[in-house]
Amino acid sequence: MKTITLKLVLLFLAALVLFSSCAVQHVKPWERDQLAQKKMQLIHDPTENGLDEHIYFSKEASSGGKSVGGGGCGCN
Amino acid sequence: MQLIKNRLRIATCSLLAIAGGAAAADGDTQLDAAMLFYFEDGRTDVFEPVLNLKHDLGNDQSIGVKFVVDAITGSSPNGATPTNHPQTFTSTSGSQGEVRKRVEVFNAGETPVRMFQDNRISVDLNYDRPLTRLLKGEITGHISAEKDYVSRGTTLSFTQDTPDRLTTFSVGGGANFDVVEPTGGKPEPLKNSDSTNHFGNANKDEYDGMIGITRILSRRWLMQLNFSRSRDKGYLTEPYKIVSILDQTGSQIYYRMENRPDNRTHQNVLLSSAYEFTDDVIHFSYRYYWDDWGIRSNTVEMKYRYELSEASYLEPQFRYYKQTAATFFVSGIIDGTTLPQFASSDYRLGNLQTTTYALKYGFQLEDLDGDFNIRAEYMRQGDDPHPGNAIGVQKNYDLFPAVNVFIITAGYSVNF
Amino acid sequence: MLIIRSVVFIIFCSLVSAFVVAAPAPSFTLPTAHDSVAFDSLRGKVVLVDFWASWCDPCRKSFPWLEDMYLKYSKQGLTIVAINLDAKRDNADKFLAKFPSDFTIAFDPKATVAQLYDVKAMPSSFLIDRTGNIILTHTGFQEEQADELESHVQEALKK
Repeated sequence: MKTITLKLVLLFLAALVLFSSCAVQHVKPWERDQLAQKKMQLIHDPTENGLDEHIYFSKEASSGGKSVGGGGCGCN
Repeated sequence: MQLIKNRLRIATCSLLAIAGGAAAADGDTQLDAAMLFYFEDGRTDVFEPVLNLKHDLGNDQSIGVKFVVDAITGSSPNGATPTNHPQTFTSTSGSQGEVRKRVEVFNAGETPVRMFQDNRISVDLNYDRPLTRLLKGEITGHISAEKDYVSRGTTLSFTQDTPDRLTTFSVGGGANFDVVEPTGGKPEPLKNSDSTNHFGNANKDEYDGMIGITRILSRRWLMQLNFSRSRDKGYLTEPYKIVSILDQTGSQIYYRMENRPDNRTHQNVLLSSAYEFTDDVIHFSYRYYWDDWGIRSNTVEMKYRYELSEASYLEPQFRYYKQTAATFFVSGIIDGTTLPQFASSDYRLGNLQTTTYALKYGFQLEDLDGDFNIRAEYMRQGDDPHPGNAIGVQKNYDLFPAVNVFIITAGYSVNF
Repeated sequence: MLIIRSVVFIIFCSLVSAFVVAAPAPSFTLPTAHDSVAFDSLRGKVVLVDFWASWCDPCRKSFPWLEDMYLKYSKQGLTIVAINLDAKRDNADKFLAKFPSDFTIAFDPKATVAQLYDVKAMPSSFLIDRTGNIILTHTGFQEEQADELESHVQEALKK
């Protein structure tokens, strides 16, 4: 129970950071150069991500989190 | 796998977008090709080519198509646990109507596995467009087929930016309608594996939804928090897997077919982050998963993009995954005791840990347009060789021998 | 009392400015590749000020259109000033090597003029009439909006 509470607290803090304006710097439109790079996308290699998700879906009980849908398979 | 993706292109250079990867295009079409080679511990080999095409239709609309072929040969544990005498299995293979039998013997203490060979083809289509200046929508379709499984699905997602474009809200939903067509038909749940009857096909439907919020925290840092929930209904059992039935000493006597509930609800919370310092980028994500089969898992992933030069990079990757067992996960059932409603010995529902180390190298070739990359990966999966639910003589054996997997991926990306 | 008067004054000004559709375009002087451009010296011409950067995808798409506008309307009095906001000049030069253009390119690496114009998104273009007032502000670039923009340019050139 303790570890679940700890995780939820951490996630709540993260959500707080995300939602609170004070933590966020106002980035001007012309200051988006670094954020515009492909390597700064959260999924920066979608092909690799697709391959990895498929492997972990076949070998583990958990699935999803990053996406919705996606095909199933009869992965033994 | 369709994504609420982050892509750069919207008429006003918003941070977030939908269809992955096609930023900074000189031409209208982006091609991504990759090949995966997977080798598991003398067990399973997979060869998987992927081809991804994305075309800019103008006015910030784009369409894409993705082809994947999966060729798998090998074996995987059939659910029977190692015991103190040899175990013999007669397995069926081939498509319905042309069933071939094969006999295999495993020594005492060996984990029995089942051979399989399968080829799977899948096609994904996607289309996205802006709906207003700050709102974008994407629709996808998916179909895949292999000899004992057909999957069809669709997803619909939206992303909405705030006027200052520092925050994006995303929402998406998907539905999948699968048909399970086990070779020889579906077995009866928990029936003796020698005497079970077989029935035809079964359906499996999945519905999922996700909401997310993405925030630009600074010029070089952004984070995303996603919550998703899915519901599976239908035939969720593994038709070929069995559970060992034991005598009082824990020694295997016979087998029963496994049985899982006909519904499953699961949730995920995912926190991801991208941070750039100097020219290098660190990607980090943490996922917490839980479902109503009693499984909980934690996943941590990290990728570090280290720029070697203008035209090449090195990217070490690390992933750690740990899950707890499903409530109905058993190592065996003592004969004569009341049969539980659900039981499975599939190691993938047990207490499991997966650790992955990878190194990716990306480079450009002088005379050739496009980016190449190659990745070498080592994945180790294992857990407690003597789980708490081991019975009698089972405790003498390693019920979960570690699995070592080597993966090589090669990719090529070009814009024209 | 002073507070009430200030508040009333501010409200009055806001109401008045709401009716003022055309605001005077902020003046500037910026370096170009070999020289400089002074906005004040462009009075009498229709000026299209476009803020762009090398990393911005829609900016790439807007360049051929800007070139097209230049070739069609410069004789009638259209001046285009494409203000680059790249922090590193190198990146801008690489972009310009791929998209050579005849219109004026100015460099504003510290984004001082961008702030004067209160640029809200990339790219942003401001159409300024012959008397120096901003008559149109447009953010982003989409092919289907290009024709409409062109008709606004033609309108401005007639006056």
